Amino acid sequence: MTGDELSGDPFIRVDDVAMDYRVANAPVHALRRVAFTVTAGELICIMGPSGSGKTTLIHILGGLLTPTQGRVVVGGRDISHLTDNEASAYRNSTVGFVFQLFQLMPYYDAIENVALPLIFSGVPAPVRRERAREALTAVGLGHRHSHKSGELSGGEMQRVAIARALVNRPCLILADEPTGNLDRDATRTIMVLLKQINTGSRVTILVVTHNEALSEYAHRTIRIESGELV
Amino acid sequence: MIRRSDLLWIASKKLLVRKRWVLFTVFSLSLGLVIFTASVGLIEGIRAAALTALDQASRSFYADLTVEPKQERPRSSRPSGSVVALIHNASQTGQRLSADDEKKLERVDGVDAVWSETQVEPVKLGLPLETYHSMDRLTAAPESLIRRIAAPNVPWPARGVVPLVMSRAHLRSQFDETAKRFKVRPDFSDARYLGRTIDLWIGFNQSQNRDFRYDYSEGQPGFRRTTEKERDDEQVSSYRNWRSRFDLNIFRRALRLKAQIVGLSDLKVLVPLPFARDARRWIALRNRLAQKARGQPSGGESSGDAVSKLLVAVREPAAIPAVVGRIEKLGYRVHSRQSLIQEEIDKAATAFKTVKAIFYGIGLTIFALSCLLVWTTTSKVVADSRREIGVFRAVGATRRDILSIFILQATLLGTAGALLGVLLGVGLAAGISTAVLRWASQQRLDPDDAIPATLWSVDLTTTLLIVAGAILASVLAGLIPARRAARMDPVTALTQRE
Ligand SMILES: Nc1ncnc2c1ncn2[C@@H]1O[C@H](COP(=O)(O)OP(=O)(O)OP(=O)(O)O)[C@@H](O)[C@H]1O
Ligand SMILES: [Mg+2]
Repeated sequence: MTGDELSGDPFIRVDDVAMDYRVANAPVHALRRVAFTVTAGELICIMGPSGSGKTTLIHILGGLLTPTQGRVVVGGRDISHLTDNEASAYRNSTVGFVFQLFQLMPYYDAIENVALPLIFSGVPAPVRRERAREALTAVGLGHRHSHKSGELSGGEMQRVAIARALVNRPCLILADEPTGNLDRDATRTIMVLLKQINTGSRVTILVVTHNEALSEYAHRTIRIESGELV
Repeated sequence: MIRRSDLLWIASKKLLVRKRWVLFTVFSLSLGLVIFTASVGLIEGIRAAALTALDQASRSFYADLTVEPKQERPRSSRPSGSVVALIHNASQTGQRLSADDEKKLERVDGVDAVWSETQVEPVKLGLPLETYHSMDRLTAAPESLIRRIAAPNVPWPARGVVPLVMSRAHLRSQFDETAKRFKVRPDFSDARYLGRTIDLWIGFNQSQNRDFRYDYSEGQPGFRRTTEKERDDEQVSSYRNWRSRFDLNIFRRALRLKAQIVGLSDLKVLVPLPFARDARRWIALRNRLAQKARGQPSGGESSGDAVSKLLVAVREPAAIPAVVGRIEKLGYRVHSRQSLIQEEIDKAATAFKTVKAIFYGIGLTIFALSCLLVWTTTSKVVADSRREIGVFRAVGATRRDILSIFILQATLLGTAGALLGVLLGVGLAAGISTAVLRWASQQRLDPDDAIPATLWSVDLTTTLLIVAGAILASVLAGLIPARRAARMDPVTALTQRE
């Protein structure tokens, strides 16, 4: 399943999605009746104030959270009612996550970090190394493959994380404030890289950010406030 | 689905990061198994060695049967339960056998001879000088029994010469001048001594062997041959005392007789019963003389002839079970060679069972603690790995994958601990056994004292069961924290900040 086959139809369809967290029996409405569509191959910025529900939305799209209400269709498949195993398989095959805090294993070297998703899809080790090396080369870190994350700068760590998100050849990359911890130069490098990946392999990318300047890299920007699109 | 080799890779990689924790856990885990394996191995080994020793000791049992009074239940005259009461009762119930019993037993069909154990001491056996001869005691046996033990090709000695069954142990040792130890004669053979005539001193009262000294002064204590001068000095000193201590001189006068070695046995030196009685009478007479010379009142004759056990020789060894039955019917307790060994073995078996149970208890307790340790270690690793679990889940790990990773970790810990424990335990048992045996072989004076080859043994089935049990237990101990890890919500795990 790639974005190409489905061009025409929207790749992502979010229908009336609401998400309530239950804290001390009082529901927190993180998302209320959110609806939008994304075409395959789009690069979209998601912006909004802190606590507006951006991360929640990303987690729902990535199959880490099940919405309280509504329907999410990704690549023609309803992902809002998956079993735990189906959600794991969906995350493994369709989604690549990029986190603000990189979330690299400190005791794995770069190539082992990148290859991690392939382990859970049962790819044999030699193939894994080959593909991880390709992904690292794609983010411009082919020569740093044996470095531990402690030996990399913040920007480099995030590039390794992007390589990890790419390695399973997903159709959807979800980046939650990927540049939140980076300076201006590193931010530009990351955004250029994401844009390049987006245009190069027509991967749909959703980037959550607080940085207004980043919207210039995106095809369009979705704004969200108090759990509602604006 | 994750591959098995990758599962192992992830699990061991996580363990390698926590080296100190892992080493601590594995080592603690092995500790219980070390104690367990070593003690069980040693107990089994000592048991086997003890049985061999018992078997060997049974050869010194020279009569066919031992007869004892039927033991009655002790009538307690004091409050029972206290140690004092037990000793008191034991001394009270010591029933004894009299001459009447001896006559009664003699009349039993198949019985050859009945006698009580008589020993003659002090004596000196004038063996060829190259052997160690501190033998100072003879044991009496009926002539018929001595004839049975005697070698067939040795002629029975003429009148006036004492037929004697010599103990092999005393002939086999030889003083090694360089090692300063007694060793087994390399050229020992029964034939060399059978039929030989030797000197026998009855009443030769010399507690110390004049030919050898035990020397503590040199760096390495041990026996050495006395020098000419030392032997002379001793002569001079006894000569000097001759006038002032006349009594001692009488006491020193021994009866010198000829004896002929008609047979060889283990441990005991046997002479015919009538001769032994005469020899004892002579020694007693001489002692009374010595006491009189000293001006001491002569002690009364030993009271009564009652004994605690009688020895029985059976005419036909094949008839022993039948004779045992007949004697038991008369109301005595009978031990045959076999029953005596069996009794000892049973006693030993019970003792070993108890000791083993205690060590099993200790082992199991430590084992339970080890499981607790595996549980806490895995729990700690799980708690430390929340973000990792979150990342694994985000990139597609299923709950099963996470569960497998943590169970495998516990299994690795358990396996490493079990293997290390068993290896160290076996090593420890072997080490202790070697050290003890080396010490024992250095301490023994009589080289004929059998020293077992090892004091430890390993039962493969038990060992495998221990290892399997340890691994199973660690899997079970790891199960609870592993389930906790698998059920962790990926989003919560991911947003965990350390
Ligand atoms: N696990 C949770 N339990 C309860 N409430 C939660 C939970 N996660 C998020 N929330 C609440 O849901 C709302 C939306 O949170 P979310 O993390 O999606 O916001 P966000 O837009 O990503 O904010 P930020 O920009 O600060 O990251 C917030 O009010 C938050 O307090
Ligand atoms: Mg957020």
